Amino acid sequence: MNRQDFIRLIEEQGSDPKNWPAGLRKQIDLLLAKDPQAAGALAEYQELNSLLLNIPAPDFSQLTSQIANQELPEQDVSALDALMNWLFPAAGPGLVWRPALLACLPLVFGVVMSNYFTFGVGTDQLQQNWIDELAMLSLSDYSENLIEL
Amino acid sequence: MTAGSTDEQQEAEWMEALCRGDRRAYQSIVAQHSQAISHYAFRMLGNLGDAEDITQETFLRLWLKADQWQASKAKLTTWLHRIAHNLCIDFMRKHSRLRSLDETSELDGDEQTNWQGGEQESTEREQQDERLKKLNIAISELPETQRSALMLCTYSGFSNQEAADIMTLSVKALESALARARRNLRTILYEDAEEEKQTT
Repeated sequence: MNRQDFIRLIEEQGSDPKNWPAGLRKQIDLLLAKDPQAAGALAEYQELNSLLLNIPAPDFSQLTSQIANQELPEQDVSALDALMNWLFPAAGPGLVWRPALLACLPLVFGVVMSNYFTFGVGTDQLQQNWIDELAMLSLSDYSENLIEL
Repeated sequence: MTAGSTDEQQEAEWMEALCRGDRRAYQSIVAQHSQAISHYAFRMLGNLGDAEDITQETFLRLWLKADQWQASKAKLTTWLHRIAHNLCIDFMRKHSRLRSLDETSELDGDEQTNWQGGEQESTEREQQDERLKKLNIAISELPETQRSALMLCTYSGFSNQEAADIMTLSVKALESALARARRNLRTILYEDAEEEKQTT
């Protein structure tokens, strides 16, 4: 690693060594030991960072209570959104069972519908099978078995 | 379960309650996040009144659009900062003015004194104040992307990835903006100071 790479690293990742990639630590230490200009650049960026953190910001605690207690408009949530929010909650036990419930709905629907309607599926074939079976039975000769008895 | 995931779980529960119109959940979220949002807005806009307006608008949007937040996609703080960031950018474009933090900062005298931390006015302290002033002006003159990247990563403590998500940039683009911002500030603070020394 050369000085330019190191400066680029500080500019992108910050001057705090915690943010630097662990794999580069050794190379950085070597560079800092042999290049005083790199060490100087690091010191300047560290000072810049601490100056940035020292810039004062006002106290907004009054604003916090003002926002917390402000008049809020009616939430405009459509029935579909409300349903979707209920079905797919962000957290909680409903996170699992509500989508599972939704997934089961087509199955329940299918069971209910098939209870009332056959939709012509397979019924003719089933009836034909029984007719064939009876015809085969009528052709069988069981008299030999009766003689043995 | 870690403390972080417990907090996230708690926030997700608050958000679910918020979607059902629960005011107490709203108040809990405001208490937790309003300082961070108002500080971010203040540092972006450099003006107390504007920062307050942006903060209020951010939480109003939270109330109205809570159902759009998805826990799997972003942490609540990231989502709120994204709203605040977009509002700040819209505000700055609409008003097309970036007032200097130094000139327009509405910190009153008491707050400035508190921050200065006492009555001693040593030369060192004066130098430090001078540099902070210079830094404030330099920050207010940074392009909005550089300033925003710097604010999110330095003050708000976001990682580069999170800041990139807030600003809807790639991490590479964010790091490039951060590098330019830090380089600009360093030039102003150190190289300009060197030049001043040489001329005097």
